[in-house]
Amino acid sequence: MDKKILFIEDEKSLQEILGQALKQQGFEVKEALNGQDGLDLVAKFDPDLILLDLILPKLNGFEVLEKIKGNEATKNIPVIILTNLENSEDIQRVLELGAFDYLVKSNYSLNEIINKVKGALIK
Amino acid sequence: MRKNKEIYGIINTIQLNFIFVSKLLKIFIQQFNIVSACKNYRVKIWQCPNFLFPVMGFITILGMLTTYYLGISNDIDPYTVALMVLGISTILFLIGHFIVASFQMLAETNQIKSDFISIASHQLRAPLSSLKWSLEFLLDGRAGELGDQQKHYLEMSRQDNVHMITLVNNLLDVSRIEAGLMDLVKRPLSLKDVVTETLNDLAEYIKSQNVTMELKIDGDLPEVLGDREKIKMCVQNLIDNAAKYSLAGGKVVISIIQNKKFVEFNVQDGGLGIPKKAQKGIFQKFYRAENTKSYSVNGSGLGLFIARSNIEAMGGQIGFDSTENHGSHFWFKLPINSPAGELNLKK
Repeated sequence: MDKKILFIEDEKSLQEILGQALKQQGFEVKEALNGQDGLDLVAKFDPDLILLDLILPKLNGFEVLEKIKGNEATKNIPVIILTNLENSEDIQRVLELGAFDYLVKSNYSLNEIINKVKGALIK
Repeated sequence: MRKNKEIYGIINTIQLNFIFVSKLLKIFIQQFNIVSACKNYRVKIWQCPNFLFPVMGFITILGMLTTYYLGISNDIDPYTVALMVLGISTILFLIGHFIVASFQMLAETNQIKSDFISIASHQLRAPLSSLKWSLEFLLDGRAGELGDQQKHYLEMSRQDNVHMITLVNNLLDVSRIEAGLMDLVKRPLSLKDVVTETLNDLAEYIKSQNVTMELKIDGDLPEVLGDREKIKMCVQNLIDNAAKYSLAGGKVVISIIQNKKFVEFNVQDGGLGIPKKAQKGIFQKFYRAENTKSYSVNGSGLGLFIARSNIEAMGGQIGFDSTENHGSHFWFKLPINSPAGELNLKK
């Protein structure tokens, strides 16, 4: 069965490209454009992995992560943070909240991100 | 008639005195470069600490002298002297207030500038990422096979995109350095590993620049203590500079040696070199030597500024020597990881 990935990102262009690239790799991908929709989908879609942006409308990435990790049913889903923020404080905060990895979008290529996703799914 | 002459004489003396004093003042102002410093700060003269401080000093000295002479002459009563002192103190207090306000304004201007760079750079990252991924998507053939010419033009765009991302990252680093927010993750590491890794990453690029690299490494080098990513950036920057400013077919020699309590990284090229008068500013941000401009070599003038801040923050040193048209030798050295360093790390 295909692994399911939830991609929470408010930039449509980024969502489309990475979403498409992941689908081509055989993943089942669902996208959300804001934090609240993303959190609703976590329950409905039951993903194997979540890609999460931090600056999001309605509910920001930190809040979404906190809710995912605070819920028994979803706390074991690996969450990879995909953002343009790069302060050590932000990195520290999301890692403490239980994020699996932290990637700065502009510094990673599509292939590198896909490999990170694959790596996280094996663990 | 005689009286007129006397008055004329007095006026003349006053005039001469005035010219003398204003000349002195002019020399004084020039001496401290007050006008140009205030111009650089982009503030008005009465908002400029460089101007306000000498004024305060001048009034203090003048006030003290006046009070002293009035005090020793018996014509004036002590109450008046006390009142004068009070008056002068009030003026000094007011000027002091202006100085504090002017410092505050300069600090705020600096803060606004840093914030602006940071916000602008973050905002630029989103479209740049989108562009980066789209170009990769196309170049990887994910949207169908491409012809050679299509690939060629897309590859050109991809390289410019990478260049822009590096520039934005550098600007963000500069704003972090200036805000004192650049934090380093210091770990023991092998400088040799970082350098060979960087050379591997740059292999294609070095080839495209038509230069050859020679690597000389001392056997058995001790580990250094530093931030891996930041060191890598610095190595990358120095090698990139050496390749960029080399003439076609040139040779770049890289060496790593132990130098007392440091491990030292050296890059020697035989390229353009840095003119003597440009050498002083080489580590300043946005600085680019005149002779690089005529060769239309790409560069933002940020790399060496960032490199120096990072190397010094790791307890290291960075420097160079260079002769125009004969090439440059850049080096940095990092402290060897000592047991004391490890101890500090664990705390």
